Amino acid sequence: MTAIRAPEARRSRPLALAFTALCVVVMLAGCGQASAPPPASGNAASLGIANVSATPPFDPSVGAPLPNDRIIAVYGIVGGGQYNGPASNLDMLAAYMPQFQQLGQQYAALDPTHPVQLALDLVINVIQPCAQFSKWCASGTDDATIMAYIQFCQQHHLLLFFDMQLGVEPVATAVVEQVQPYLQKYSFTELALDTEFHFPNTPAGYAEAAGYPCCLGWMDASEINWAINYLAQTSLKFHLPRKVLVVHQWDPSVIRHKSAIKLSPDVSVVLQSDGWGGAGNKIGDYQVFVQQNLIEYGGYKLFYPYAGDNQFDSPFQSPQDVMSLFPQPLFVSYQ
Amino acid sequence: MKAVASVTHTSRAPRRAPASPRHRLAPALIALLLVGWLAGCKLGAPTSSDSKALSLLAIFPASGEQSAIYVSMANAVDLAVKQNTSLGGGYTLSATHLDETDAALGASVAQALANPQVMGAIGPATSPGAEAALPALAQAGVVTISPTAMLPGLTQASQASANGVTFSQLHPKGKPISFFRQTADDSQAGVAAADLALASTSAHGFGAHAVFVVDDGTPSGKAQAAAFERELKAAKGTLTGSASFTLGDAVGVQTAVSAIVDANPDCVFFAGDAAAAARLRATLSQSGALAEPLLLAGSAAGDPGWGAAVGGALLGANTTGLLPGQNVTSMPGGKTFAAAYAAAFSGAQPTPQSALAYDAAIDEISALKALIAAGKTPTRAGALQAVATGTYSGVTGKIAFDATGDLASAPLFAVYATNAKGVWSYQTSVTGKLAAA
Repeated sequence: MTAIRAPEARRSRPLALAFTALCVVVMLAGCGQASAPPPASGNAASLGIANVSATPPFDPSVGAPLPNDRIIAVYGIVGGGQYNGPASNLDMLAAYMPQFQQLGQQYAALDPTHPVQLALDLVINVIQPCAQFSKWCASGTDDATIMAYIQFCQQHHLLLFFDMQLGVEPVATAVVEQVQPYLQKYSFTELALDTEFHFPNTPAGYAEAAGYPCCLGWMDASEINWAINYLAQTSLKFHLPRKVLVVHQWDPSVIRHKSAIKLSPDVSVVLQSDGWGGAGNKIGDYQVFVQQNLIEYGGYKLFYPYAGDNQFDSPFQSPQDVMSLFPQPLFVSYQ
Repeated sequence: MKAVASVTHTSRAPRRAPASPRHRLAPALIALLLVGWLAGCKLGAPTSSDSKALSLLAIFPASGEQSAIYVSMANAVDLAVKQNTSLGGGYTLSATHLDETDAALGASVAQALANPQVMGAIGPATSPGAEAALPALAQAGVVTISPTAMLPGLTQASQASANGVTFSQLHPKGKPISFFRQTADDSQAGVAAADLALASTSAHGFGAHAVFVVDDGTPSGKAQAAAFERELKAAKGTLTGSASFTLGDAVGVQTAVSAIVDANPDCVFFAGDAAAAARLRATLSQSGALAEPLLLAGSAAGDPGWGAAVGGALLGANTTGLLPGQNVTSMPGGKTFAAAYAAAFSGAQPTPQSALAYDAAIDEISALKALIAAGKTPTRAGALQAVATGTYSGVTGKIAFDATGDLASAPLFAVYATNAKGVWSYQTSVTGKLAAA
């Protein structure tokens, strides 16, 4: 497989490690520790609580966002700066909402067959220097912060994707210990895996993670399949609408044994073509990662230009541009 | 549901046909109507001792995704019978309706045939229904005309094994051929579809060179796909890939769609039944491949229930369908038939399949009337011989059968296409090829 792009011209946006690390050190504690969500209370909290009454036969496709809707998401890294995306903190997110809603309307007008569902693509598990985050080379997010985002999503009828960069933490460990209670409890919570920031939990993998960004991370299909199976079981067990798994791909090497990814009728899988740069290169990546290797649904990511940051899309593609892709992406996120 | 009874038309519970051909009756309403209709069949049934009270069997599904079409076919048989309640010589005619979806259809048919006044059958509509019903009908020597059953092996011994058909059960040794069909078979449909795929857009074709083929795993679907691929290859077209899925296999259809997107063909040909076609179209459209042209052959083409079957009319766009038969407006007697149908069924418009069913009924009725007019006692054998050897000019044109029971002439196909809103409209007619010897 040959990517139709100029590698030098395309880079995944670095995390501004120093800044992010500083923020998370200050605000986050208990990295990698198991966390239980506080009990939901009040009307807002009850909005997303799953109905667990057994009314067989349960059909997880009822109320499922995909493939019925197109998901338009705003990206953010908890504790990050503006260039990490408008969802990086709730104040920026609130300010972005009018623009976000207008964006959704543009997509809805372009494809009447897919109503738009707005979402947050929120990185809660960020790759970090191993020297400071020795266990997994990644930080986590505290429950209070997650609950604040959950409440925001309830109030604004947004899906919430827990996006995970992982470091050397295995997918299963991170999901079960960090987001399982939310995935089980709230019907609007979904999962995303950022493959290029994930390294094997081995001495060699740890060395690579420690040297990041010397080396590109990767994820094997087996870990993606674990997530698919886990989300399917979660949906069936807790009678939740079919969940969505977004798998980021920035480079051919970041997903190994991609053809071994196994679909489930009870999970919607999005392969998102990731990375900033020129439109031609981005479209080329989409062709290679999505169109020519389609798993289930296509995803696309766009990077806004920010002052003082040179890692953005140029030209910045319009919704019309995005909808001219084939297949038309069902998940589009904006950082 | 079993429902076996003879009935005169005046005693049947009234049925309403769809108010508009573009809107499918709600399934619940259709079910209600069919229940009422089948229940009505039991009313006023003449006894078998009434030797001049003749009957025709009408065998069509009482449920399913294409109920609107099936109801129209049953309606058409009723219309034909109603127009010929008196056959002359004191003979009268009624229709007995059987549900083709009856799990014990073969036994139901056999039970109905115990009445010696049953002189013929119209249907079944589907190939699986034909496989179930034909053994009893053939044993009884009852002339049977299917308007729409397309599996090649139903009539062609050489194709039966490949189609999974036990030919000797459908055509018992020593018995004359009693099963006829007015439609192209799946192989002819596959060939016609390939020709259309390769034809220029000015000829309502796709101008395609590279085609991806998907089938629904049924014998009919496999036969259509194989014929399509042969024709495509012969015409120097390119097969970019193929896939197969069975109805209800969500992962299977999604995998097929992924393979289609990967291959990025000029068009996709789907070979199979209407419900599976709708799943493929819906999955393509919902997965971001709404623009992918889909070509199909069979009863989905022009089906007023298409929009509902795909889960919303907009999802059914970019589809072209080859319907074996003609559009009603193109039929020699289409206008007259449509008027009679509308008058009989509250202004409803007939489907192309209903015109075929009407002609099938009239063909058999004409055979009975000819026997009676000649002073002969109408018998099953007499009716069979008249249909097998005669030529009947009906609403859809001249109908004559070859020695296998297939149409003696090259089949016609009506080409339909959906617009951006997913609504079918008639485009043109094309002539297919005779079945290979």
